[in-house]
Amino acid sequence: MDDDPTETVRALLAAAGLQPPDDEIARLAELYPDLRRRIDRFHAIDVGDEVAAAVFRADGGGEAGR
Amino acid sequence: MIPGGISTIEQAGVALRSGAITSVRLVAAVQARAAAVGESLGTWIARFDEAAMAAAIEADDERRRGVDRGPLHGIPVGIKDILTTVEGPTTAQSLVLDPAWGGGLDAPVVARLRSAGAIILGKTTTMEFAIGRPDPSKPFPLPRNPWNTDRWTGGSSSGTGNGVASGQMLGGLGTDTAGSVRLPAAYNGISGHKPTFGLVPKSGCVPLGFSYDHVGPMARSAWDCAAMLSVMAGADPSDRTTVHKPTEDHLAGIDRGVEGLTIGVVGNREVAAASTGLTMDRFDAAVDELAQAGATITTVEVPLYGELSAAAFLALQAEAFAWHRADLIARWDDYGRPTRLTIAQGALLNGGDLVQIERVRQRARRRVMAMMAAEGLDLLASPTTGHGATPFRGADPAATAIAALHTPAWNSTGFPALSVPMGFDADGLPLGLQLIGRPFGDGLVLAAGHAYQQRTDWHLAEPPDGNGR
Repeated sequence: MDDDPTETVRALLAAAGLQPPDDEIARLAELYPDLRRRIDRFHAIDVGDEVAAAVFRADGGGEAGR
Repeated sequence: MIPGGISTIEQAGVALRSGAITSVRLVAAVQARAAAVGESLGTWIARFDEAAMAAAIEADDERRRGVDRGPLHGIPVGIKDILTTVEGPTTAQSLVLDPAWGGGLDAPVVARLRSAGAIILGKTTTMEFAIGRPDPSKPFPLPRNPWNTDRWTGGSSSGTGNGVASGQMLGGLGTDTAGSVRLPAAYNGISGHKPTFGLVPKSGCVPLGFSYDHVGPMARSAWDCAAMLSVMAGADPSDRTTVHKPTEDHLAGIDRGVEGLTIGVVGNREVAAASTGLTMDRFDAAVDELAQAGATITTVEVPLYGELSAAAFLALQAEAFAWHRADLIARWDDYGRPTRLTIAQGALLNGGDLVQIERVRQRARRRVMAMMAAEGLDLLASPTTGHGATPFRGADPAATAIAALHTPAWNSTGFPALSVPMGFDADGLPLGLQLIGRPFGDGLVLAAGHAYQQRTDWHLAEPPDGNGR
């Protein structure tokens, strides 16, 4: 990752349709390295063939939600 | 605070049935209390005084005619202002939400309370869209803690928390995406229950994180929460995440006690590391109380606990961004700055990130289930939060609170979790004990909380004057 993630953050926000003022982009850029670090921890976990639930169920599924 | 020394739904029900009090007197008492302290404590977005009194008159009339709708008949409650009611608009404490959102209907969970005879007093304060910060720059009340008005109530079910604690209502609804029922319950010295995901319909509730949101009861006692949950629970076609289970009367088993149960203390280092020594002392004393009541106590490591906790915050930002994207593009400045900066972080995750978080969440849920089965655990226990209510001055009170929250892992698993008062910190601020159960084991969680409250009276403690020191 770049030392200064400001332009990365600006580009990600713009791709999502957001154009905050510079001071708020700067604040999000400050937060971004920690956010990225927390996300990357998840990618380091081997979960094999686990799938995400389209509709989450606390008991893992079994009967239809409706 | 209320005539006859009534502070719980259970006590009020006895008094109503014996004729010692009427619903009209009960509602008049809490309305007088709201008039006295509601503004200074920042409890209400809107009060429905006339409609509530009319409902109280009707409840008394029904009772005279021999109609008894159950434990909530004639009981005054507040509704967090992200749930819709027929009496008025829902703001989510934001300038952004269309006041017509919800179509002027009761959310199913509100309709169920109303049908059970509960009196809807009004809409209580929250954080903007249940995720912003206490924000004096916006035209909404700033919720304050009745134990010390220089402290925050916790959030996001702020007004319901301080309203119950200060005698402005006997119970109410909160919502919980990472701890928003349990945190204000702990900070205000009351009880609050996050049900199993899928037990209570969320339709009619402004969403924050679709797959982490829960609607839950808040009241003084576990008994009161059980009475409310019995009415609130059950599948509804308007929320397809709700699960078809037989309707359960959670009061029927409330007296089972904890004899023979095995409770696992969450021994992960993150818990003690983010808690004060006094919090851990109070927690140890609470666990001892459960042991003396007949529970077997063991200490366990919850697998992937840190990931479960992190998943709730990361994924809810992405889910919230999905819901708010159009409004963020069009009305950025109408959101509070902390709200928009929090939700906008959801745009910084990519699709693969979110899928991987959800895959880990599923694996972690499975592993916690397996661990509980292997260890023969009926319940888990931890402090609700690492310290008492955070101050308004200095650091961001919400950020400070979040850093010491022991609640979000259970939003990720969807397991039921109850917070009950377990004593006070050195500043006289309440602390919470969290009891966690297996999916759809809400009744056992509430029964354990009730057993604890049969041996302690922390839940009956009232703020010195109900309006701060």
